[in-house]
Amino acid sequence: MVRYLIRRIGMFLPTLLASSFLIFAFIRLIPGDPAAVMLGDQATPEAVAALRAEMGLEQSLLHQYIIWLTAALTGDLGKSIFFQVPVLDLIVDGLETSVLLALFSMVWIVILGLPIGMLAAARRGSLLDQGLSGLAMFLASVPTFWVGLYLILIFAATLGWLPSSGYPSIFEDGGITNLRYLLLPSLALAAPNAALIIRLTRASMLDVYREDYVRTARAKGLHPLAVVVRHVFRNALLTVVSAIGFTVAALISEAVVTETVFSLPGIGRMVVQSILRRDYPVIQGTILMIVLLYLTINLVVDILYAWLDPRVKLR
Amino acid sequence: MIHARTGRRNGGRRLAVFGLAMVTVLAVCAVFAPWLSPQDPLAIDPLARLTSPNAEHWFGTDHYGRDTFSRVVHGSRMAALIGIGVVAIALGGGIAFGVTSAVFPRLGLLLMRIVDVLMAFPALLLALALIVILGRGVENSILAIGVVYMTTTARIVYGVSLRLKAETWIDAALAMGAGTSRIVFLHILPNLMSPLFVQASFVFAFAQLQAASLDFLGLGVPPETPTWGNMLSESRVYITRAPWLLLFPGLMIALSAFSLNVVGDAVRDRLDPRLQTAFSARGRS
Amino acid sequence: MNALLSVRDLLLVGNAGVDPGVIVDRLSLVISEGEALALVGESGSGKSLTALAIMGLLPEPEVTVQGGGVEFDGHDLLLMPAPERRKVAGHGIAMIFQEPMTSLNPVMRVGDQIVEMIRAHESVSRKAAVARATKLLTAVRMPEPALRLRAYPHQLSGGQRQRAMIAMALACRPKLLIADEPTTALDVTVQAHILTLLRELQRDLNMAMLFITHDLGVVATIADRVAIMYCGRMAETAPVHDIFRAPAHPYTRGLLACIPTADRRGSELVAIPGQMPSPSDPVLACRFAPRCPRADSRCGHVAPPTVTISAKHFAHCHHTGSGCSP
Repeated sequence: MVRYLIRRIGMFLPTLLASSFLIFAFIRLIPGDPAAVMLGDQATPEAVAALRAEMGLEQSLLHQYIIWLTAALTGDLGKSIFFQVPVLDLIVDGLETSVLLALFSMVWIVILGLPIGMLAAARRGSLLDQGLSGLAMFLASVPTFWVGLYLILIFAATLGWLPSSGYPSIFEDGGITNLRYLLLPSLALAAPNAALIIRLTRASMLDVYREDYVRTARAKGLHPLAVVVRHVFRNALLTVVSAIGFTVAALISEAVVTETVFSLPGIGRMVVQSILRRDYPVIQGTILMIVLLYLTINLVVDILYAWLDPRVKLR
Repeated sequence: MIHARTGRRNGGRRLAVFGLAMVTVLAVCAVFAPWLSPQDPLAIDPLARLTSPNAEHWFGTDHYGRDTFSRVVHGSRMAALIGIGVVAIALGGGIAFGVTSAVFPRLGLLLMRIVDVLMAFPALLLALALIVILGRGVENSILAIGVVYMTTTARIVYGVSLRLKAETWIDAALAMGAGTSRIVFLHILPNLMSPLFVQASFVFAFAQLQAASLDFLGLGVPPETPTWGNMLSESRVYITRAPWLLLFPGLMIALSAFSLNVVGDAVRDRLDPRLQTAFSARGRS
Repeated sequence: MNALLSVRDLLLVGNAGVDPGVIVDRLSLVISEGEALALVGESGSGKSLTALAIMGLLPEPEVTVQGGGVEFDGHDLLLMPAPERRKVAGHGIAMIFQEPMTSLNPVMRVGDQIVEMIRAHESVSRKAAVARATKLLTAVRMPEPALRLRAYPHQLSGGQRQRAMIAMALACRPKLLIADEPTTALDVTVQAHILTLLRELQRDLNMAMLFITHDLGVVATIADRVAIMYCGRMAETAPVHDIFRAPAHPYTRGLLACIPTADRRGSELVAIPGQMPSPSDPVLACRFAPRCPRADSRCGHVAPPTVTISAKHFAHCHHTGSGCSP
């Protein structure tokens, strides 16, 4: 296990380093003087000259990257042109919304995806299975923001049960009840991904059903439920867990859109607004943060997988 | 072997036929849009603002009084254009990167590491970053989304090419003095056709969703162009008064992605069930 | 001796897939308490599906029981409600399979899989079950049983896995053990060890055994009696020494001619010409007729009679008369 951990982390660090280089280089691909780009239209020539020196623009690209990376590692991601505050502060502000939204969606994905997938597998070939599988296929092809807009139309605008936009922090007035603001967004974000997990769970359950060891389990005279839970489900879950990393990528991508639909003050919406405002330091910082988060989650998922599947540790 | 999934196969075939029919309908819409749409998709009619669907305006009108049906039909043009463009870039680039990497192993290691790094970015985020550099526009949307799916395609092509390369008949071809280009064009590329066809239909489907997202965020095709994503983006505020503005464009996005997914699924299952591991259900999201 | 298991006129039909049609055609067999019966047949002869039908593990709905009965210990298994039948599986009849590699759950420790078997049928504490699992592993001569208890299947060798399977099968002291080609996937040297182990355990525990194999060569070590199956039908049943000394069915003779033995050294090995028909092929009165060296017009349309050669020796053929090996 230790050797596996070392090897897996050994893959994580170079990828992180390489992607950070891309994110660093990306500002330089925008036409114009990088320092002027980072400071926006209103910057004085003096300020641009000062930043040029700070960014080391006279020196080699590698040198500039090291300066940038060192600053980033100490939490200095630059200053927002639009807000005139450090980028890190903006990210920290948005983190609560985005993380809670993602967690909430993950809960939906698990409580909807696994049982429905298992049900479809157990009733394979039946009308119920065909209906559920067709629905899952359709939901997997639906744009998240469309689902979101429909949820707003039905549950917020028509029924008035839930708020349609915004999210006050749980540390403000209303406390934990503020989570109701995330109910519709998380459902919209979860829908296409839950559909994927339904399809995946169904397929891997059916694959595992055909395994010899499931026949062995049945030959032992176990209760069918014990066969499904202890033998089929545990092995089918391996496939599903390995898809979680993939789901997280989808969640991040679609959170950008979902946060915009529901006007949530998260990192995703900040990326979009910063692009529209040409607030490059914020774009760069948030993308770096998102990629870091994504790679870390993938690392954790792989370790979780290794822990679930005893065969991995040997390899 | 006994087929455990007989039931599903028949259901799957019905779905595939539906998917193929939908693809045909959308293609016809795209090609014959000017003849199929009863009105000019850009014609403004202030007197007919937000009219609900009726005999004249089958899908109602938007806040400028533009005919939604005509706009939806015209939207299929941009959808087809973006789909074809993205598939061309993703497959063209993917084949170039994948085959080169397989043929020249050392260079391949480097190229595949670059692909890995690009895949460390969630799809829409990578597309957004590219849009930041390129600016918004039709070509840039196509290029940005194309690059995103070039990575997955390159990986698939690389995997299949390596397997083909390992097969003995390549050795035989080498032994007979065939040059590298001969091997690539005569042996590797023809065998890539069927997996790439499957990949193309999936990429086409994902491109619809990603392009719609870019449009919706206001970072895709210019807003004056009638695309389904732009239509949804513009009519967001009117959805309670005019729910038809939400229904039809969204349904078109969903149906176009759905039908291509179904077709891709069916072709994949037919070609080789083992390929399932190579393709994921939603590609990269 | 009493009949422990009796299968009467079992009819298994395939409903879907490549080979629809009758897979096992009115097959009957009896196993007495403590008796080891080897069921021999080529792959595709329906021997494994017969075993799965006894266990209630047929891959339904692709293959279903369409007739006949399976009586175990005085109860008809096919008429039993599912919960009752589950009590028989594992407890009364246990089964081990051909592929020890894939027949154990890869993500469960070997010990846990044995413990699961014990606790499914008896209300004992986990601790007691673990203790019993250790004893079982010792009984199947697993090296370092306490250590292997905590191992995952992939950490064991093929032979060790099959020992673990046997330990698991014996956990609840079944009256009948069904072994479906348990040594086919193993190395030759390991095969011999497992065969001897099975035979010893079967005798020591006075347990009946249905040993399924395609290899007539191993039956002498493992069985008291042999039943030869051909294409879903019984061809011949006899005590082991009678099968080798006086085979009555032309198919049995053909099979014996295929075994290289010391006393036939030098003489030519003969393969049976042709191939076994598939269930979907047209059914003749005798299914072996197309390949049979002694077939005549009768074999095509008159069902072969059951011929009693001796008290425990029966053959289903028109041509059981004397004659040396073909």
